[in-house]
Amino acid sequence: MPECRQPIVRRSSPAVHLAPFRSSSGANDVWRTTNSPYATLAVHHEHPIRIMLLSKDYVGYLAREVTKKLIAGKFIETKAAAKVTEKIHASMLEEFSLEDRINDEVRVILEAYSTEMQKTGANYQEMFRKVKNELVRKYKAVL
Amino acid sequence: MRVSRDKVNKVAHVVTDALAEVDEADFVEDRNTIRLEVRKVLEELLNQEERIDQAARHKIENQKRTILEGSQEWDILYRKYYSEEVKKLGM
Repeated sequence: MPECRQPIVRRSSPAVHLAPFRSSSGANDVWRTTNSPYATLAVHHEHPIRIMLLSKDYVGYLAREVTKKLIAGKFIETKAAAKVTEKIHASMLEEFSLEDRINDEVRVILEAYSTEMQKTGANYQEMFRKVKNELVRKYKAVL
Repeated sequence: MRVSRDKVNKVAHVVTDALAEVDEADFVEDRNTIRLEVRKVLEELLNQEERIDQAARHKIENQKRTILEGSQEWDILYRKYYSEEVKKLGM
């Protein structure tokens, strides 16, 4: 399966640039600062089966069915159905996992401000919601 | 449907854009017609997925003792029952 997770990189802080690094196990994503090999932050998915709106398996099924129906209904013509399915699958995974990537970015941002938040007694959930809304607007995301 | 209507529209757009990038795929119908067809297919299949989700949740609720959603046990059972429901559809 092609890697389709696109990085959502913090642009507001020039001091720290984060880029996703896929661990070999594929179980967790690790965000690593590009300017220091020692600063790493592991982001664990809470629900392995639903890392996004739908299970990955079901997204694969969606892609196959959409391809089949477009061809059967003569909406498109192709001799490379597998390639079409692969492309559709990648685009669907990208879109369905957008909220997860935004959530990951919110966690990274809040982690960077954790000391400050503790000092001021800021509510994590409230801050999470605010930062998430901000990022949704920034990326013009549809959740 | 657990996936919002706006999200389905967005996915249909994204899929149509992705299709347009495949050199080996020729559009017989115009782009908007294809997008609407993709949306229709997605809506049908996502309704089906919701039924799978509901069936898995229902099985967990019908256990002799209460299993709290979010617990590890709930996740394991959900995965098991979800897979069973998916297999029933021959996916």
